[in-house]
Amino acid sequence: MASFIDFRNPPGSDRRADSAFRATSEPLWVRRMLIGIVLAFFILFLGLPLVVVFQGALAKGTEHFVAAFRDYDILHSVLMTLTVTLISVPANTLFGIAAAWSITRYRFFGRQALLALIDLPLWVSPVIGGLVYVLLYGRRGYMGPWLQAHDIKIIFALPGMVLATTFVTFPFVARSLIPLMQAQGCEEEEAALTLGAGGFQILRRITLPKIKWGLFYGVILCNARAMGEFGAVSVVSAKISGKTNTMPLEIERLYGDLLFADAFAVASALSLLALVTLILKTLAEWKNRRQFEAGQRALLEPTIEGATN
Amino acid sequence: MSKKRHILPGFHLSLGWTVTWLSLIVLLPVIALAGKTASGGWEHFWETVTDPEVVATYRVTFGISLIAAIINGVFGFLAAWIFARYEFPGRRLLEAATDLPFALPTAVAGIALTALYSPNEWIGKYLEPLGIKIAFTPAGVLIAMTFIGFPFVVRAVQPVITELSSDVEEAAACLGASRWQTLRHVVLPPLLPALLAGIIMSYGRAVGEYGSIVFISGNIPFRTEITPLMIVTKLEQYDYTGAAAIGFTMLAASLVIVVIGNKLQSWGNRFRKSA
Amino acid sequence: MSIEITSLTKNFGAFPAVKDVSLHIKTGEMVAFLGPSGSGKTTLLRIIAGLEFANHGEIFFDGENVTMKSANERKAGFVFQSYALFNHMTIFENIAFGLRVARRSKRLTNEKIRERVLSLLETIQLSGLENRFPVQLSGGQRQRVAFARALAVEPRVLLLDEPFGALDAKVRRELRAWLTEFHNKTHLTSLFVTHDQDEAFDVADRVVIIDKGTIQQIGTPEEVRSGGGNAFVRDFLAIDI
Repeated sequence: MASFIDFRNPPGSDRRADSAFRATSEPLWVRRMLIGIVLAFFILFLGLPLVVVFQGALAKGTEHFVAAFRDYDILHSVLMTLTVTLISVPANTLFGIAAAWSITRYRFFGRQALLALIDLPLWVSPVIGGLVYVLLYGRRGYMGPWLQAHDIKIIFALPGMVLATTFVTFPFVARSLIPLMQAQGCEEEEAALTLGAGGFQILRRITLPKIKWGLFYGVILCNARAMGEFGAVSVVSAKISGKTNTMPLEIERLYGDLLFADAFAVASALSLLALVTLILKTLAEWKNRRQFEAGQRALLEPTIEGATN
Repeated sequence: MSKKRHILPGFHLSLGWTVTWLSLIVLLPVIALAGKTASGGWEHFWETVTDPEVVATYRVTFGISLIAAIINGVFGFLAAWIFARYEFPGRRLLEAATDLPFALPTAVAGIALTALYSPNEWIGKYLEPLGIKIAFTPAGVLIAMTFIGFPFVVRAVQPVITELSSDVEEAAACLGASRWQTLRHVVLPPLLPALLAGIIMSYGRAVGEYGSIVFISGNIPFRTEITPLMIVTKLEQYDYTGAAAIGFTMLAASLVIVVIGNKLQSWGNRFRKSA
Repeated sequence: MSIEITSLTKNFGAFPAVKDVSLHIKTGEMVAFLGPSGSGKTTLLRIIAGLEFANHGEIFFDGENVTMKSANERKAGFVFQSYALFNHMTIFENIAFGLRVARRSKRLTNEKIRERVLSLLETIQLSGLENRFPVQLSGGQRQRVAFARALAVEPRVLLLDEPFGALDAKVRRELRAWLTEFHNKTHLTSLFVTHDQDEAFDVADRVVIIDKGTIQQIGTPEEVRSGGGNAFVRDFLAIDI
């Protein structure tokens, strides 16, 4: 009998575990192969581009890298990126909270249409995000003559870049809050209401603490997209280095001028931003899932509670 | 006497702010797009969108995006499967890295991919002796489109795999099904809608993509030019109605893509609820 | 506080949840809304609290028409079925919430708030747990915190939605006895929703039997149990005649 068992499961092998899994999982060699394929894909498509960026940034040595960020035009592009982001992200955050509140807390006519319109910038080409503002405010756009008569410049200037960035980052905060607030329900808000709390008190004391990680998540994504936007902004910017170039546009300019090390230096700064975004996003997802589940648990609890008492 | 009141306060304030901001940022500009398109007249519209150079860009934008979406379907599905089912060192790192194409600015991706695949560069120099050129060819466009569309399939499929309870697989195994039969008849059918939805979303993203492609494609007319580039070109020539016509066409195409994607997703959710 | 309800009707879309309900509740009474699930009893309670608004009919608190007043103006002490405790706040802050959000002119000092909360914690026999969070409490403890939170603002009426529904048998009995004792001491007008007839008969002064959004019978537990009701009531209470 012992030899039979030994024959099936020689000591020191994990074949016993493997055969137990066989019915509901793949054989070990298949699993290893699949992991290998996916790993190769990740290295080739996601890992290498990052390596190239940092290698390219340091190709001419760290001194050159540091010097790049002393260059006036490059510094100015950093300033432009920060300015555009600092306007559009808070605006879209306020919008996102208001939109999520109205969509998840009330039933009203046109709610679905509102949801669909909020999503629109997510699925159209970013170039269209720039195009629409040129058609409105550009020299030959609908408002063009009036703007020119009053000497207001929107297209090829900061306001246009802010508008285009706001367009492409429009849905991020709202989209990350809506499912969360839907899952959490509004019972805690109702409880606060019966205790005499007003609208802003409910928002500040109950809702915002409940959604803070979802909000953080949305703001992080919104910020990353705002700082990195290229297509929409390139249409509405005059693309003048040192004046209306954001960092992504400056990368294009430097790359076109064959100043590769400088282009990659700017790119490495944006890549670092992307990496930080990914880390914070993973953290927020983790925290958010707990808030999300706590919300769902609170809804389910009365039916499964009791036994713990 | 009919009373319609909202329970929680803030209805008018929050909805008012939402609608105002939405109108200013999205609705009004999109109406302007439709208006400008219409102002050019039907003939001008048709002439613009059927111009041979523009038509050539459709082949690149809508054709190569499709290949990229299918590649992402295969690798995205595999990645979602191993993330959901296998435990191995580095899994969390890979999971977090999946969203890199969302987070990395497209211009950065553009120059990085170009540097990778140009002749004499990292990968390009090994391919060149074999007679394979990637940068400044349609293959380069394919690489960029695959890169930016990758996360969609993983994000669409992985939650559904996680939700699939393994007891149906155990049941199938007890009924004598081989692992392959179980996968084929029990596991894959409920995943199919999510997989297709992910592929469609990845397709939609690749169709609209601009930043990462214009660097690696070289923008060769009739060969690697993409439709969004045509919009930019028309705008540079101050041809607003022409740009609007192409923009409107792309908007309509994207709308069709997203509607199909949503339909697939709700079809898939039907499966999930019954599971 | 007395409550007067006149021909109240509430529709959810085409579905009538409450149909032409009229009811008078005397000051200090303890009344149970008893009925099967989906009968509209919870909706009725929520309309009284101001958490739903009726399509027709009016509500008076002590003769004052509150029909169009919002929930935060009515300040009925509402205890939710799932407790709806604020999970991100301590037990102390949960109970203190209603006092902290009061209008500045009526707001108590921090010291007074502390005093009131600690005395309420004593009332609900949870002294010493003020710094815990809701998730760290058992179901019965959470239920009592929800009571205390509602009581902190000194409501004129207490509205309880399935107050014992989520608890196991032993805790239910204890809480039931505690609630009866509390009511005997304070004579706070109280309405509670239940689907459990033993609970209704045991605790309430009067029982309102509701089905399909309309009142089937109102009476003291003895009257209702004696079998004078209609066919639905007899069937629901399983009274054999």
